[in-house]
Amino acid sequence: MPSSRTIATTDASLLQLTDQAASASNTPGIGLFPFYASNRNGSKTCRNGLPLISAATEIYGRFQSLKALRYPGLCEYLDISKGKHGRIITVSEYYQVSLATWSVSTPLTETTCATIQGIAIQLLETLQYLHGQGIIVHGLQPQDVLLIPPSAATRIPTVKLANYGLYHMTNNGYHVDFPVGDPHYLAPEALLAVMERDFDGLDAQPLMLSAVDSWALGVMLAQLLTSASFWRPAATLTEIFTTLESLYHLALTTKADTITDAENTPLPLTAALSTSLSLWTLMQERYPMSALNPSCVFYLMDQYQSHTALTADGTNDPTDSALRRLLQLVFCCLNPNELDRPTATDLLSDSLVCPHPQTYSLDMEPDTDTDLRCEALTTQTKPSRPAHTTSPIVSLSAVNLTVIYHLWMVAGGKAGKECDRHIGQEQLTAIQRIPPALGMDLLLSRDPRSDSYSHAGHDPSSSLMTSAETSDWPRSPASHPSDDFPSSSLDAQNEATDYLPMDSTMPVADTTYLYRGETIALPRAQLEQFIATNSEMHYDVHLDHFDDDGDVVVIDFLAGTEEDAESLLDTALIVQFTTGSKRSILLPTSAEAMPTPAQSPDLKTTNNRVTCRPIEPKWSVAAQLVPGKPEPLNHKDPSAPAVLHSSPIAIADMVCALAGMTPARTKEYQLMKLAIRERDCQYQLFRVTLFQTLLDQYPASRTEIIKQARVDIPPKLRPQIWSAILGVLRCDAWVYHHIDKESPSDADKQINVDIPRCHQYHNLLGSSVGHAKMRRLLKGWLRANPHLVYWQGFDSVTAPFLSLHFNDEYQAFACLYRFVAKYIPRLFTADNSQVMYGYFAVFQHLLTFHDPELSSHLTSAGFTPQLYAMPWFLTMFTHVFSLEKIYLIWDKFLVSTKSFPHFFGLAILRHARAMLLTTGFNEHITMFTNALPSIDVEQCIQNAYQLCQMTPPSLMALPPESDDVAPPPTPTTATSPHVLQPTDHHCEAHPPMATQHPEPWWLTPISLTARCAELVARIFITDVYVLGDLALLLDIRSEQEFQQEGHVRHSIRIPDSLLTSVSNYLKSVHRHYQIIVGDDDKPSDVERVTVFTEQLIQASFSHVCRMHGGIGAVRAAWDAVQAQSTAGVPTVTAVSPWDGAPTGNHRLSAGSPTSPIPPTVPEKDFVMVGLAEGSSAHQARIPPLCRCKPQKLVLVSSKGRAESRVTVWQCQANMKLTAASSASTLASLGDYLRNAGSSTSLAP
Amino acid sequence: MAAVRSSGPGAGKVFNFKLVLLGESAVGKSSLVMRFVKDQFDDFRESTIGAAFFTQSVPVDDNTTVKFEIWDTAGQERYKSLAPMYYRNAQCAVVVYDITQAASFEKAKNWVKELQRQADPDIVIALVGNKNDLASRRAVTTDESQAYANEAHLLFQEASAKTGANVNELFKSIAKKMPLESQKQGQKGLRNSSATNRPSVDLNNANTPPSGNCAC
Repeated sequence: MPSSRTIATTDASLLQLTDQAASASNTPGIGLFPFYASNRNGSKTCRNGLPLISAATEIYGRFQSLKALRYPGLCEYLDISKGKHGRIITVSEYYQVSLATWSVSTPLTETTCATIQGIAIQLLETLQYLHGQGIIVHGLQPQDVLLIPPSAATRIPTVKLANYGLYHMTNNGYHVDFPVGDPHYLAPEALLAVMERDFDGLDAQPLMLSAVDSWALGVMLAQLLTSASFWRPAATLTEIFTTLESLYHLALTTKADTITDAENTPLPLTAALSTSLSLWTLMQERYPMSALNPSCVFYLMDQYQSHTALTADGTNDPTDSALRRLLQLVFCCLNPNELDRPTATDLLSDSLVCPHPQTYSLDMEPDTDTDLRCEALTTQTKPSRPAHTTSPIVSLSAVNLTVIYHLWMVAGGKAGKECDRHIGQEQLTAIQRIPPALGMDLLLSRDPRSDSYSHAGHDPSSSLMTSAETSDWPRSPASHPSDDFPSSSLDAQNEATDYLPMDSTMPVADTTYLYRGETIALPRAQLEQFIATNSEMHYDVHLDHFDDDGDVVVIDFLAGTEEDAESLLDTALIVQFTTGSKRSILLPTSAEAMPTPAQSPDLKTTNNRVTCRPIEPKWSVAAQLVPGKPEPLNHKDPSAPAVLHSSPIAIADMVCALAGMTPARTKEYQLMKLAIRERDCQYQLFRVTLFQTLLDQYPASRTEIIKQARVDIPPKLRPQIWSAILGVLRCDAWVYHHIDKESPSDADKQINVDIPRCHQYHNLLGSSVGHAKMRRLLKGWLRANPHLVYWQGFDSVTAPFLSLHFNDEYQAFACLYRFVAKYIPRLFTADNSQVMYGYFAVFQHLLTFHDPELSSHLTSAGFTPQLYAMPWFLTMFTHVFSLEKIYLIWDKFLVSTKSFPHFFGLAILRHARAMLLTTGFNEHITMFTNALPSIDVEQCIQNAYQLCQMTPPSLMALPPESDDVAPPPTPTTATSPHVLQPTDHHCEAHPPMATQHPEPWWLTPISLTARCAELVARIFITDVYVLGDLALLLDIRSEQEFQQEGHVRHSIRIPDSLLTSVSNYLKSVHRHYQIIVGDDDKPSDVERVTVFTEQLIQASFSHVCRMHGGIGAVRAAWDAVQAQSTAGVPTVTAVSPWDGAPTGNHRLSAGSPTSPIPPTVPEKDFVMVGLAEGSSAHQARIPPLCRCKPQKLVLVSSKGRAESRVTVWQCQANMKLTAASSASTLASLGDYLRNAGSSTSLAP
Repeated sequence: MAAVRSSGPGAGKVFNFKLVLLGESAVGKSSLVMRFVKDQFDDFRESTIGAAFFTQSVPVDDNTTVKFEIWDTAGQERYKSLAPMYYRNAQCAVVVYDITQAASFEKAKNWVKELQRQADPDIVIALVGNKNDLASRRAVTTDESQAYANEAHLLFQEASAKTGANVNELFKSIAKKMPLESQKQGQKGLRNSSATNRPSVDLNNANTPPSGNCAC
């Protein structure tokens, strides 16, 4: 017991703290906090017959909002994990030193008082913030008040509050079978409520006022000031309870007096203070033998009264005033009546206890650790640093705790395992999980040795006394060993387990094992060590490529998709034909296009380039458009100021270079399976750093993000990256908040029965919080899309976005809105049958195109897409696979063409090909309605990608909707989120120019009816030109027409007599695409085309299609080009594809099927270039000119697009020449394009 | 009416019947099938989109087995236009309602009417009140349902997919009701292509878009 409290001038307490806390105490580690959720809900059902959501899942859901809290005085929550038997482990930032292990020396000095006051005010501010967020700590206790030792300047330790969310996440303690909060720090009203709680009841949810936290603060401060425990060290829980009950009773009975007192005093705090003091005086008089430690609160009371007397005398010692303020604070907090007790806000706003709040208040700038920043980036770019430093930018020390934690898990760290290691394996039997049958009041009347409250003791020593020594409460703040993490708790557990009543007929009273109250600390150094030792590279190179029947030929039809506007220069390189080698399949474009140091040979060059690059106007605009956007990079370092103005591509280059991602290493990684990449710490660290750098510059960096996302998406940043790819802008968030998400609507009934069935295995979606959010999202989306309706299955489409953006409904909503608008815009209309069957028709054609054998087999078995593919396309596979797989699938969907889901579906069929070919309908349909989730998703994605690359886009053109279906009205009302409509340049989803140029008839898809009636798909003439001599054009017209009306150069005429027997012959020609041409205006030709296609499909020719519009399309397209050139378009001189006088070599003579056909077509002397469907001018692709050594250039396109494209190409070529002169192929392309104007024209 | 398949010597005859499940959303159609086919129950069974397919055999007597080819359909009203595709050639239908939801019983009556009007005239229809385990929240009385079933000439059963009560009995009673004898004479080849044993799903229904012959 402290005996002397004279004022001295030493500040040993601070030194003690500084010494004790080495530098390690300053860096946050990770704290694991395990406890058990209630299993009360286990066997109960709610009204609709579904089982009640388990308490663990509810806690999981309620926890999520805590993760979003950011305040300097809070330890950030990082994660929550759910284990067996309802064990929950929360993961948060953690520091080694806490208020429980820290004490001030006596006697009190001025400095000590200031320190304590500093701590108090920081705590008050933190509590104020939490209360403002609707969170009551309830279990505030010294162990959770963590301290960062002060710097020399401040002299006051920084306070970080931990474990503040237990009461909130358990829904005011409802979801756990133990009381939340240490009774020694619980306010009287809270302890009474806990004691009266019926732990088996469903409705008992004690709701506390935020003033409960003030009481705990008062108790802690009193203990700090006296270095004595608030309660008698030997006090039992019963005694404490009785004391608090008396105190509370006293407060209630004397309330009348206090009110009259309050009327005399203008200041409410003064009133609260005087009430409190008078109550404590009464307490001292009436209950001298209470459980209260006389040397704590009563001693402070004496102190306060003597200080007040001193002040009245006129003495004004600064220490006195500081101490007096503290004492006033303590007694304000210790007001037994919760209605009179001031809250944190009250206390902070009053000078009675808080003289200069600004002195201690922390600024709201998020500190560097709460936000992922690449601090090291600028410092590492100093030219003095060698470029080949192993991993400077991505060194572990440069990233914040959330990334460290993520990498720790990537490296195999598991919260549950750590807890087991520290605590000892939990050996919970079923009996032990029986909830306590009795209320606390009953327990209290039992033998104190089994007092169930003992578990609420919060340090190892109190865990030890689980059952044996409860009556002895050894709480003395000064007595705790500093960082004694529970080496001895294993014994404690054994002891506790031994004591547990194993007879199930007895009420299980001891709930100690449910809640140990201890936090397992993992210091940052330990985490980094773990990551370092577990992150060796995996070199299992994965070369399992898609195996086609013949040699694989790839035209990368993906290379020029719409997203590519700005990264075209890189992806254009990928447009390459690789013939004759199975191994030469193209990697996804970005694999090649990934910026590597090769483009910027050393770091110095990088810097020079960056510095020289002018400010891109778009970036500056973007910076203005997004208010409050943080500066993309730390620019404290004057040596790299220009980084700010460099383009996103340059930044990505730099990150790659700095991370040591050489081309070879990049390649290595690309060949690994995604699952391996995702478990590679180094790679993940690199990717996270790269993406975070890019995300910081979003939206200016959107194109680059998309390009990088084609390689892969690091799971850590998936939510943000998806948002960026979909073009979601944060500044539009107000739109969502203005949408009515609550009013009843027709769809409510269906939504309400679907939500509790939607991906319920998922911890977030299965919780009540998740259900509520899902409901709001669905209703909001319906409100924002008045022309669309709710189809069962749409809940599944929402699920990925909700689970990723659980704490940010707007992001989830905006992603959903844009995703549906882009990928499945017409599937959610009230009558979607036309659209749905359009999807099926395209899918059927795609299957026939790539795998005629499988297609024929399935068709003959009656296994049509209508029967199995509806959930595929309607829900984009979300109804088919688990969310974990959906993430991987959608990672690719989002960066590919809109038709990619078709290819994924095709890949699934081909995955099951062997089984499908050998079985019948029942097996097919059973497999596809039941066993689908077991396929290898990654393999399918890869195959789908390759299939997609080989497929001309025009094959995928969806049939137009019938004319009687009115186009969806554009929402124009005030409630409609017109801001969400893609309007700005960066977020272009549908180029508006597409509607300005109506396509000519030969580029317009045929109707659904016509499409369904045809066996093979139609290819547009533009794609025919792109295919070049990879395709064989088979002309089925009569010889007369062929010769007299003209034909496509190098096409082969198939005479009638050979229509059914020519397949062997064609195989020897060995082309990769067979395109059938007829005269579509002649019914006889149409019939011949049909017969011929059937023949080819029967002979299992893959890649068979017919020319859309037949010979008429060729003619019309050519006329259009002619018209254009006569209209004076100067840039290109066109060359006709016509061959008016075909040579005999190219024709088959009717009577001789064995007559020689040239194995190869003579080398082309010109290049024909088609414009891919839907691409606009600035997204044009540069064709594979380099390979063909062309002499002339032909453009086939609708009006107004050809010339702009050439201009674009020239611009791009010029740009590339200046930007990267090493790209010799492009240089020759540029030369070629410049000379193109001089080529001659051939008239038909 | 059913396709006969001799399955091995002495094993008796196997009759195939196409069965379709209809009923309002979330009444437990899929759960009933899962209980019948796999004897499983999943608290959070995902909703059915389009339709799902299962097969299960029921022994009727020592040498006769009935094999059901079950089409489990989506419950939402919007998917209703697809239903004819599945019930068009069905020989039996199970119309399910939830005994705790009076509205689902009304919906079941509508389904029965539609079947009796548009499906095969000889179709065997069973009315099933599911979620019998939630008897305390019952909103549709057994008497009411039984009276309706008698009046409309339906089989009737109250069952629980969760506990499994009456589920097998239900399908067995349907199997017994199937006209096995008439089939033996090979009348009425409902199957469009005689050789295949696949359940025919009619894609040429007037209510479905013109896609039936797609690439066939």
